[in-house]
Amino acid sequence: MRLRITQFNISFKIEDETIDKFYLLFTVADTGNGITTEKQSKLFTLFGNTKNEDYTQSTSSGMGLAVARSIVANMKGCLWFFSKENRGSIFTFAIPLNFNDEEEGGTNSDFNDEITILATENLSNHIMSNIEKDFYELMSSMYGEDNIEEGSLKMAINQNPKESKWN
Amino acid sequence: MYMSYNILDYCRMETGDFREERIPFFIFSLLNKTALVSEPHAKLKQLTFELEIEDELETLKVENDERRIIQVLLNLIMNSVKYTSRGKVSNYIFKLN
Repeated sequence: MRLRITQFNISFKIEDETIDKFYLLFTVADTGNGITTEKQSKLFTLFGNTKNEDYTQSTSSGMGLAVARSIVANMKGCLWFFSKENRGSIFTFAIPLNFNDEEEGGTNSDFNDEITILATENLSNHIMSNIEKDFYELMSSMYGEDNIEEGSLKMAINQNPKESKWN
Repeated sequence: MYMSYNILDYCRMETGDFREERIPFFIFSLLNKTALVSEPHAKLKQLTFELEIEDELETLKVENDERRIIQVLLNLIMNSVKYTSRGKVSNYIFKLN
């Protein structure tokens, strides 16, 4: 199991104004069972996989990933996952970063207002293009290059339109 | 403890009462707290808990909702621990300042 934290910088334009934003990227990678395609669709829904036959672990509440997904969405972040059966899974999320710079008065809440104007998809694509190369390197180092397919990184946010009220 | 936060947060988001608590914190304090909870779980299953972070990031002070980030991290980590039965042999890297 590996926890990895990196930062990256994104600049994009809103109405001729260029905005630079730092993101913190958290990655949790494991060498576990992996998730079947069937289960992946229910992965981030509340109590989604608790009805499975192999649900024998009483410690599971069925809430963890659903709550994780909603919190990230509420913090205007993005969440992705990759999973290969019998190899393992990688979950990764990016959260916009506010530096605690006292000279500048701390928060830059203006930015967050502007960011909501952006379509979430556009933003995710921005972030995605920033982390993609790094991510595939991590995948091949953990599971071997043969097990990696391009485009296998899946976005968890906006996956279920029913829950879009949180986004 | 973190379980009850799950329920609380879920209820708050359901009722639209989700507020971020932006408080300045250091990245290493976030890591400490996360490791404190997740390490024993990983050890129970004899998994190695690896951490990879750039040095300058650890001492970075940011203003964000630390508790929520930990919450998300723990949810993901617990999920990983639950479905992993064999740990990858690897170096144990955890730097603390």
